[in-house]
Amino acid sequence: MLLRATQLSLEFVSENDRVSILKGIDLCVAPGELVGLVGESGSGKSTTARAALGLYGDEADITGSVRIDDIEVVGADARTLRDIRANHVALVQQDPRGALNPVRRIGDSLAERLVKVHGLRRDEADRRIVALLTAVGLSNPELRMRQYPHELSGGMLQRVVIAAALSTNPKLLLADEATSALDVTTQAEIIAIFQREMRDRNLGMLFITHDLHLAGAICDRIYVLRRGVVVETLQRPGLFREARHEYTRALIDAAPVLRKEVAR
Amino acid sequence: MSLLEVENLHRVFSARGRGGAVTAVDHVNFTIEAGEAVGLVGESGSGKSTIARILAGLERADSGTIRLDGLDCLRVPRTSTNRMTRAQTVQMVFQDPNGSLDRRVPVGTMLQRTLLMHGRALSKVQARAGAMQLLERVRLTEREFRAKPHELSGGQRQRVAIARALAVEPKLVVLDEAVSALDVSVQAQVLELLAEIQRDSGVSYLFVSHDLAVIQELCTRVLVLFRGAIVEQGETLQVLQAPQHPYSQLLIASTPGEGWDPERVVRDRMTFTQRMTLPGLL
Repeated sequence: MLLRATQLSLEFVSENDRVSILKGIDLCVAPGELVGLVGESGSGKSTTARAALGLYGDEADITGSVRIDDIEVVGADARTLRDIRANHVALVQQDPRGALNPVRRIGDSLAERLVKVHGLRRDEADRRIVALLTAVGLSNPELRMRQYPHELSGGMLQRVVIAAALSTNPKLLLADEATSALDVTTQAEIIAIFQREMRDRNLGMLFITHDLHLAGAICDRIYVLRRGVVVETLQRPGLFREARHEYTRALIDAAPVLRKEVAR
Repeated sequence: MSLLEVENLHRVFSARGRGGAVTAVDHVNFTIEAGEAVGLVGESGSGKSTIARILAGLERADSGTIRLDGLDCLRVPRTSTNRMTRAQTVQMVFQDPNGSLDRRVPVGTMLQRTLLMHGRALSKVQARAGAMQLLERVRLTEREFRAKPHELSGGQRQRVAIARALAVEPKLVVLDEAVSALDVSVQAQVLELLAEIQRDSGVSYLFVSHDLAVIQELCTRVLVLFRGAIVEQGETLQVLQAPQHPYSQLLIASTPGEGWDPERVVRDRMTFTQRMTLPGLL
């Protein structure tokens, strides 16, 4: 398994308070699998992804287990975490502007870790980045590398961030609302890139979204999260059509459906 | 005469150093009747927000006319009386309430100030009662009255922004992606609330969104915007079920649902863009 969480629990701890965010989560992602994680704001979707990357320090009390590519993340030392983040997993978030340094050229941002962590020469790194920027559908990649983030649109920047995520050849992608800020046609382009790269590289992906229609259209399996508990797991081909839990049904009812078919 | 009449509205942004100007709003015409909710849909960069901001007086137009309940919306208000009149005619609700609410001021105080400033309350006692009434109308309570914006959830904050817009009893409320940042269940509650307020008060909405499904929940009529121009307008259901313009067709086909294929959407989009760049085809 590329990702396996077993009885993962997380509490935020402060001096006089403990808040339980995740309460015994079990989920997994296999190579080539596109797995959805849906739920309302505050249900613990992003916390699950961040916990899987080992991004919490003393502020969180984590029990249970998360294994990425069979390496335990919970309680791992800095060296192991660095290896996991450098070689096994990549994260794509909603706001690409938050992921890129606004005062550095895009090429410099992307090349940095390939040179410093992966030991590539700068010209090798540049060649890999140009190839990836082309693969994610950016025109004129050499120009893009010399540009700053503010010179690109949100859709273009999200492609840059995806190229950066793929540049270290990860096996698992965590996409946290990666297409939520994009309009429908751009969203489709980004999803098409994800699906193609998944096929070509046999990647696994955990796709976090609040958009049930999108999750229903692309995912192989969907976990429905509510207040830190997986209340239902839905499998292809039925997915939401076979939803039993009342929370899942309520989410589906709340999501507006485009009435594009003429009522008969 | 309609409540809002927009004629030949035009706005060009000059892009420095790019060797070209962007036509954000391209000779746009539309009307909104009293008590009507109209949706404005289009992709990022189509000019939706520019139109919304021009209506609210936050952006100027190059040419055209806007008449809203007898008020010339394009004339820059020079006196405070004029500014007040304008504020009492049209109000705006933004996507991010964190950016539009003063984070240092408790919600109740903010509403009381608005009511006093616009003469909707003549004493502090009246203002307090009025502010409570506004909060009740958006289903908030005494607790939220005393809270500062950061103590509220995203949905509650957006309700406060709606309450403030309603404080001056405007004829038109412009909502710019007002529910886009909310998750589905909160979004459904806010949409229901907006519909209820409209039924009770007869206010008109211009509801700007990139999400057709959301527009369909609230709006009887929709305007489809592409590169600054309205390419189609009509009854929402009619446009959804029998879109005439290729862009409306593309937009509807792109919305995720059963049998959605991103590769197909990308191909359709490319075909469409190619057609758009060949003159005389549309």
